[in-house]
Amino acid sequence: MNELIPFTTIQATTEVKVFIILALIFFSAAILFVVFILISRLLKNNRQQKEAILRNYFQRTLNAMVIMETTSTVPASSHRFKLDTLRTLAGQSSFARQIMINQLVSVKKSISGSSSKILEQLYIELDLHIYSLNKLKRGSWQKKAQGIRELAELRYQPAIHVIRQFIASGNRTLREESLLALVRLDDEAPLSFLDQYTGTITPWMRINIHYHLSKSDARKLPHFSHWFSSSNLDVVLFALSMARQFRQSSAIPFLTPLLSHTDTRIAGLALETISALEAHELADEVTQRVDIFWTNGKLSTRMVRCLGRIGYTSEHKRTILRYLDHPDYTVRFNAVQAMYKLDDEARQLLLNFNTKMNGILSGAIEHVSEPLLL
Amino acid sequence: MKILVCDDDEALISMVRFKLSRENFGEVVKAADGREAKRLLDENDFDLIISDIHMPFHSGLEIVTHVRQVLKKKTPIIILSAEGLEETVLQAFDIGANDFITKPFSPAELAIRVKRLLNL
Repeated sequence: MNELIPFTTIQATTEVKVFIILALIFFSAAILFVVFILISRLLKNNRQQKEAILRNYFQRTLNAMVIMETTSTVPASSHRFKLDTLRTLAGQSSFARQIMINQLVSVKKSISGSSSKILEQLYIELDLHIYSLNKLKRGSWQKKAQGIRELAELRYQPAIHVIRQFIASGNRTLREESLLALVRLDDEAPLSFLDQYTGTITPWMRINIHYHLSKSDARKLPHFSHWFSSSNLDVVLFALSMARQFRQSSAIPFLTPLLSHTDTRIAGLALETISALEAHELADEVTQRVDIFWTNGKLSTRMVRCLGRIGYTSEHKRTILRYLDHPDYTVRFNAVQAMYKLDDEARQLLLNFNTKMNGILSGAIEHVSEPLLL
Repeated sequence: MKILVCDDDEALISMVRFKLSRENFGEVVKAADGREAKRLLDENDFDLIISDIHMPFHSGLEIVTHVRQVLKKKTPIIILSAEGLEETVLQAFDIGANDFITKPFSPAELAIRVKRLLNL
């Protein structure tokens, strides 16, 4: 029987040595990786627990301060005591301060009235606004945007001039956040930034600005016609759409020049605004531009729709009638619809035209006269 | 008196509970999502339900339908919603909600509406 050869005496080949070294490296890396995951999980859990405890504590104190102070007279000493406790907590770490701000913002979104005012007051009393303002000095745009949003949500109006600096920022998110913040914070002139604004206004911004303006006092809304002559076409389009959305009839006298605008988007939106505002006094102005609009299908469609709403003289009806012969089917169809809905005289003119043209528009007339579609 | 408050916003639910407890409306039970709300409704009798529209698993409108059509109960229901769209409000009333409050709302106003629905 052969004697067992001790392991150390085995002459390992180079390949085996490399394999053993690689296996050792892999094994150590795997252990390190597992340890890393375990530690990070532990830290994350610890952080979450700490966050939950802080949040609960803060929410309880917040409930007591917001609810009790709006329903009963709380002694100043009690308010001061709670405030001091929270201030001590906020002073401990930026982590605690951020949780407090998040909590204030979260509650502020759902409640209004005097309770909401208390939240704004607390934001200042706990010096949390300073923490948000400091974020605007940080390097990362995410932090800056977060700071701007917090200041806007908790309505810290003295920050307006600081936030205004970000309107011209190269970062799109920062630019949008700052514009929205100004709309929310500047009660006197929420859209004053539009005077110098050279950037674009995205649909997202338009929706958000409209949302915030719709929540404000309608009497304090700016006159959107102020921006009809802006050199920034995006601003003109925005102002037109707002004038239409808020049905601002004070804009009517300023719409005529826009009908001749070189940008067809503006001319088209001006037609839609005239239509939405039911500006009958501009029907003649619209009629006079038939020849300019004729070659553009989209503008022609908007024009017949507009005249179908605001036209009232025979001249206006005859103008729509001209479009029944337009080369673009959409224009013809809209002209049929406009004539059919305008009044009895227009409807008769339409039917006579159809007879004269051997019933060429019968299909369209049938469609627009369908009771379910009216 | 037992009131169920359903909302996935923990901060808001905590504040509403605190307000209702302060007004002595009795026990205020919370549900963090639609599934929990349904379970609680199946197992308990409530005098009033306050529910948000947008919740995980089941919406506030589904909760109303569940109470009215499955449980066949006439428990007063207040719907809370961030969207005050006319069609949503009409739909909520149509399926059996008793009141609709648009967020943001005043906790004091909520308490008054609760009082009115509980005939207190």
